Amino acid sequence: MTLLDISNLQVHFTTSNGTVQAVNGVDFSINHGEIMALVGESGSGKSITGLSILGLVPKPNGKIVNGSMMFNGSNLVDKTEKEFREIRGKEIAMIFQNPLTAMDPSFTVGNQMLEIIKYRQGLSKKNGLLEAKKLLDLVGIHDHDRVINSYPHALSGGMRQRVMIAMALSCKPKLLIADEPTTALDATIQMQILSLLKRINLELGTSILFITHDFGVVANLCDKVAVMYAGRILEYGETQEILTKPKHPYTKGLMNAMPETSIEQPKDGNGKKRLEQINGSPPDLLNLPDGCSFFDRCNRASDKCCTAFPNITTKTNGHLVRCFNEEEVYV
Amino acid sequence: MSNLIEIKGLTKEFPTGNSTMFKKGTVFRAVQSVNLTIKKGEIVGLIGESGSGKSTIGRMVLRLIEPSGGNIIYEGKDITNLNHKEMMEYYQKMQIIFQDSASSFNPRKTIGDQIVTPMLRLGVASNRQEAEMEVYHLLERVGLKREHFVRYPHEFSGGQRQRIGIARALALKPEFLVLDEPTSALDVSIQAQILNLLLDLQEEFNLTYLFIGHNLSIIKFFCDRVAVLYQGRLVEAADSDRLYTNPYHPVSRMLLNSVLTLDKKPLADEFNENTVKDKRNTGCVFSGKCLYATELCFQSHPEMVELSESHQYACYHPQNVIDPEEPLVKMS
Repeated sequence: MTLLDISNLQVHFTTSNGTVQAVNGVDFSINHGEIMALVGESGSGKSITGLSILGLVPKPNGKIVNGSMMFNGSNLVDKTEKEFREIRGKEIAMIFQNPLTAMDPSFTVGNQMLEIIKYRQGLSKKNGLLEAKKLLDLVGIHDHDRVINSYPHALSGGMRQRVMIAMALSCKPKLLIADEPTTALDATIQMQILSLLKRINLELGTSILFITHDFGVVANLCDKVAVMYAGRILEYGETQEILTKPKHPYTKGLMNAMPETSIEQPKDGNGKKRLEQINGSPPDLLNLPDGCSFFDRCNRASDKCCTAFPNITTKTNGHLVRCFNEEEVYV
Repeated sequence: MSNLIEIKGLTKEFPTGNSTMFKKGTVFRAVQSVNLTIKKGEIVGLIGESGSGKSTIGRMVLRLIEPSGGNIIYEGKDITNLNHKEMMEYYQKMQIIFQDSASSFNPRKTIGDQIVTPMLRLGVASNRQEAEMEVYHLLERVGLKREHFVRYPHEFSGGQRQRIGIARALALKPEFLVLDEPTSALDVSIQAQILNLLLDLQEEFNLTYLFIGHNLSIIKFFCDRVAVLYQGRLVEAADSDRLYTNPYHPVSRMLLNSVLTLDKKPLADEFNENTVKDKRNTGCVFSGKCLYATELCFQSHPEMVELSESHQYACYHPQNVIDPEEPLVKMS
């Protein structure tokens, strides 16, 4: 069953230099209990997509100019600020990349957790504290008293992220938007946070929209994946399908850019070790090219790519690709 | 290959508590008696969780932080106690590239100015004109343009700024570079570009690298040899291929397990999540979290055991001993 259905979402920012087309017609849907990944480089619009679901697009410069976001039968684009207040936290919650800036440094963790619990569930302080402890237990923090009485700066990065997740879960949201929650963390702590999210997904049935740029995370956690580039989705499908048969050169490039430990060292023709790289940098969002936005970095580009933007084509198993010269076979 | 840098018993203690006339303050041992040799032309990786002391070691080698104990030997000469004037020569030979390229530049000066100044100060170029010509050349070498010389740091993207950081370090014609997580803040595709550039430059300028990082798959690709740190202690050192196929120390195994690859595998932790607290504080640094810890582990920290010239570990109960016939020789 579909929980969130986004179609043709467009978010533009007006700046003194012109209009920045941050999100440029994005379509995807998330089902109940599903983990979906939004993958892309910085500036590809993945975070703005996440923010627009919660109505948090920075005002007044940012604006949703087109599209619809159907969440549980109602369109989020038409919601007023007041209506959004009922949705944020309760129906859809978000965790951020940097939990230190997402929390108030001048209040203890317990204080901040209680504020939400008291407001949302109308519990007394005593019962609220019990609820807070239950939530901390859920995210794997067992020395409640220390954490509840600590200020955010006194906790380690992994602990802070756990507290953020506990706060996000306090109202049992149906959808959790995780905006690169592990990018700032160590590999070992990243592993713990990811298994925590997976457990929450299984136990509470929370759907998760996972924003990341790491294909390793996608492979281990997510059911579906959408690859974003310059505000558009270039490839979309089941994780297994995309990982084994990537059709878009950009997806393939992203996957190859990360060295794998299990296989032989990547080497160039002269036997020198070398990573496969995507040349150049992402296009300027102020004036996007007429053709494919990946054109100047693509190694399979043809003349057609320069002039026209490819439409979405559907492959087997709901695999969607936007490319004229997609890879047929992947070895 | 001769040794370029030898680190012997390097220790760093940071004071944490207030000391009074009668009471010594408490100290935090960020790095505890670490031994490491770096050969000429080698890429050595330092890996560990945050707080394991890897950056502290990198900075101590350059004498950016003063060590509390131990020696740093550069090409046979002990540079641990040299004064600022005597160090000048070595500041030119050893350079560092920082993780956060944004905060490692002065926002009020053009990048060209910032590269030229140390060149003149350390006598790499005799006059400004010569220095500028050299910088133009270097900017092009690292994939930027001449006209970038007069721009300010904020005008560049993260990847471009990291390239400028590399140009700045190379301008002094160093022999040795500390790379302190140079790609952690970058996107995957840009990361590949920077790593390839660093590999090319190493060959071209005959450099030796000390690469600090926490991502094992990158370390394995990039480095010839890897040293694993945990809470300031060196726990295992091996050739990078060997460390991956045959890790001995539980910390190395933990780090290897946390590498996320494209083939799906269950998310599982192979260590004790609830740390066992031991008051004696004398044992192995990992004993509290280790699944295999015994009483011995809590009593004293294990000595380095030398498996071969290139593989050492410090553990009483090494796991994954694939070849039990291999002789275990204790290091003196």
